Amino acid sequence: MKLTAELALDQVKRNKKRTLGTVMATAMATALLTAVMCFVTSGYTMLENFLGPGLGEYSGVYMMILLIPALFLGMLIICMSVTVISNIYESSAGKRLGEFGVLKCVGATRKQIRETVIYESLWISLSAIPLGLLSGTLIGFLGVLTAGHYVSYFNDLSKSIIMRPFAFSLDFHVSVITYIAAAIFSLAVVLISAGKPARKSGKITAIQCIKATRNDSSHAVKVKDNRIIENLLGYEGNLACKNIERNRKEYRSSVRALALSITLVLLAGSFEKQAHGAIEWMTGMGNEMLVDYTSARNETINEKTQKPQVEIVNPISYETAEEITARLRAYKPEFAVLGVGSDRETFKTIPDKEGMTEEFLAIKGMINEYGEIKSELVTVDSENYRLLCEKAGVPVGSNILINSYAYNDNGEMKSVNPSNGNLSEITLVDSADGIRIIPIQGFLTAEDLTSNAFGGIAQTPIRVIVAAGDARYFTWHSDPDDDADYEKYARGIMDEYYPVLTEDSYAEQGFSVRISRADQMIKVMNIAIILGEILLTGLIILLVVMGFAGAISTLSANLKMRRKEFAVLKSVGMTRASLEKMILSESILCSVRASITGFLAGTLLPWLINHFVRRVFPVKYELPVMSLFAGIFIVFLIMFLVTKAEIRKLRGQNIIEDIRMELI
Amino acid sequence: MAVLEVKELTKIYGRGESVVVALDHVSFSVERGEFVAMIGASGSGKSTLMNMIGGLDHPTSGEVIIDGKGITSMSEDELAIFRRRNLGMIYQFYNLIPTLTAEENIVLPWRLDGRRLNKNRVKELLAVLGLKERADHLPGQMSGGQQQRVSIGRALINEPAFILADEPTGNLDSKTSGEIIDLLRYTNKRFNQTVLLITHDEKIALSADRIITIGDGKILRDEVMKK
Repeated sequence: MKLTAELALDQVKRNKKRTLGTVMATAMATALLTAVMCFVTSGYTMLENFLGPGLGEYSGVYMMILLIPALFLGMLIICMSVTVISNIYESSAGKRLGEFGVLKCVGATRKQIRETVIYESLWISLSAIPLGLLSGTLIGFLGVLTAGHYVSYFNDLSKSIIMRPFAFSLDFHVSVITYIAAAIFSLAVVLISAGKPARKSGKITAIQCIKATRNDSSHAVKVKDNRIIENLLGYEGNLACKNIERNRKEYRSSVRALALSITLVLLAGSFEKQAHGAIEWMTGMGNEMLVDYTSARNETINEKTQKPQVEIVNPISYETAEEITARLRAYKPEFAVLGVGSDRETFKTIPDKEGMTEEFLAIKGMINEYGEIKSELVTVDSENYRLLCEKAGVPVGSNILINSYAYNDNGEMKSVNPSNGNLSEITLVDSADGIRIIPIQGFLTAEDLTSNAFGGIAQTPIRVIVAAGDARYFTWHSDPDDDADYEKYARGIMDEYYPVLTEDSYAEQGFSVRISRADQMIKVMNIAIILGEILLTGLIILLVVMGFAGAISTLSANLKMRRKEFAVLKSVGMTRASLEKMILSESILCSVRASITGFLAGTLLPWLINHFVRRVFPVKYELPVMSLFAGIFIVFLIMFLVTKAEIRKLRGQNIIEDIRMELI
Repeated sequence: MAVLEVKELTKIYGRGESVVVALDHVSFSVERGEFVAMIGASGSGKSTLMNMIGGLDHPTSGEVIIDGKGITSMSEDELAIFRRRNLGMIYQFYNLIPTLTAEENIVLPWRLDGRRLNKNRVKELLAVLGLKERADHLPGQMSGGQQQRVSIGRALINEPAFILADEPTGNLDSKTSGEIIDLLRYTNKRFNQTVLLITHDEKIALSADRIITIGDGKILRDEVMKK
């Protein structure tokens, strides 16, 4: 065995406490990486089972969906791991200064010194990586098991809300490649972590080693006495401030690990806030029982105009819808059913500057590239249509414009009136540029249309209630006392008109029929959020624990290395209370710095993510105040407790012995 | 009047068969303004004596009286406060705080005592020490000699009862050693500063007014030098 490897092994055996810490940190990093790899492998298998070998036509897209979060999590784990493990090797190298000196004196080269540190990391990896692979498999198994449970639930619920049936099944899968990839990544993390201290150790000169003086990393930064700190923490606070400012390298990794922990806590808090904001918004859509018919559609390009053209494969006629309405109402005496149909595929509207409001026309993306506005012809069952006509003060048979358009304006729900009241007719245009002018005899606003049937998550800008017409969608809203009984009843009626004969009726029969409460969609969304929260929170907890472990080990090593400095301070007249105050001040200042950095990063990152979220949901970024306070409180508490524990160890300090330690 | 009185000072390490008597009933006194050198071979007990006088270690028996105050019965914190007000300590390896500049290291005992910064005093001291240009430098940016000057400055800042210098030239070349001893001599004359210098170098000891020779934990000789 090479001498450098032997020396490293000896070091590993002798410093059992440090070795154990390094093994734990390395194993944890490996475990987290392995768990992520297990998720990727299981996720890939799930998609392959669903889409077929190679993930089919859109394999690239699916792989991106799978790999981008894995890459993000992997990078996060690697960053945290390198910070933590690097600290441990650095402190180990610092303690071996005398040994390096002897080696240099007897002719060891810079490379050989470097090698001893690298070999130390390799010896540790020998046990840590397999341990990490095993525990990572366990974490991955538990994670996939949890996720799989939610995926099954998701499948059940989605049957009632998604037009095409599907069945995902997330089972635990690992392969040799999973382990090889995880081991390679972990080894890379270890080598990167040990590389920097190894290079640093190699650079120490023989004379520095013999004198056992560290490569002084202090920088002569001009640090003026800070009055605020002096008033708050006394002269000891100012001393602490100077120590930190001029010795940033020693504190950097602790501050970085703590800041990263706060960032992660804030990220989790923001994710939870935004997800719940989206759910809350969707909950506003009500929870009525919905019997829904949807026709399949064919998207083509019109040969004449080259405009996108949508053909409704099986439109539901007004007469059929009326028949179904009547039969559903017959479920029980006085049973209320509101039937609303929609055709938003056939027509667009030509903007009318005279009759439409400027505010409405000015909405970004309102007018498409052909100079048209998205439009929807709404049909309502005859009984409710008559009531709407009465409300609008127009005779039955009139066309009524819904003069309210609610839209998501970059995270904020806004509502405008499409018409200024002067709109007497609208010009509809189809994909073949066929024109149809329809008169507008009346107006209704959102206040007039209290039913959720006229709400909707993504509203069409121009909506006109017409007396009759075919529709692509038709939904019957009701609120039965016994959901299961009504579902059975409604299914019986719908089967007479639109019997669902195949698993995938939408594709094979050209329509789908769904019967469920409106909140099923929210439940599906909830499952996705809960699942995301569980996995993200689990990962964040592990990473935060790792970050704290890193900060604790650095802080502890830093204080141990400074025993002589403390002894000198005592010898020139610093009392124990003063010394403790100085050390505590350093911890407080480090925590403040970490809190500021963590706050900035933890605010900026979710704020940027929110820019994408608010394009879909009207959810603006909101600072998770509780998470912020919790994160900062935990950081301060941990730093305080660790410092106090280290200070206690210093109480038995022998000034003479420590002054003789030639480390300053 | 004696600034320092050492009475029957004894320090015994270990127990039973492994007992080591580092100091054996040592008694002497030092008058204000004296420049005293204490010499002895390695292991003679001189560093132990210095640690007792500096209040860094407690004697097995005997007494150390500085400026009329017995320090042996003081608590750790009382000793720390006593040190920063009444003693100036200089070590072989300078023992400066690496993150503080030369000036900040010098004023450290002062600031620890909560006193206001006397800029004129600091300026004067930096000039005497020849460190005007190095005031803002960190220890790592200075030579050994310069670091030792900073250490002397730190010892002098509080105008202590006396300066205790433990092998202050032990880590320096002969030219710089000479400069440091001259500086101690100068402060002794200029500020009437009492200096107790511990060394194993007889040549350096010869620059003192009085030489105390210590061996096997006992005072072997105590002679006043004729100049």
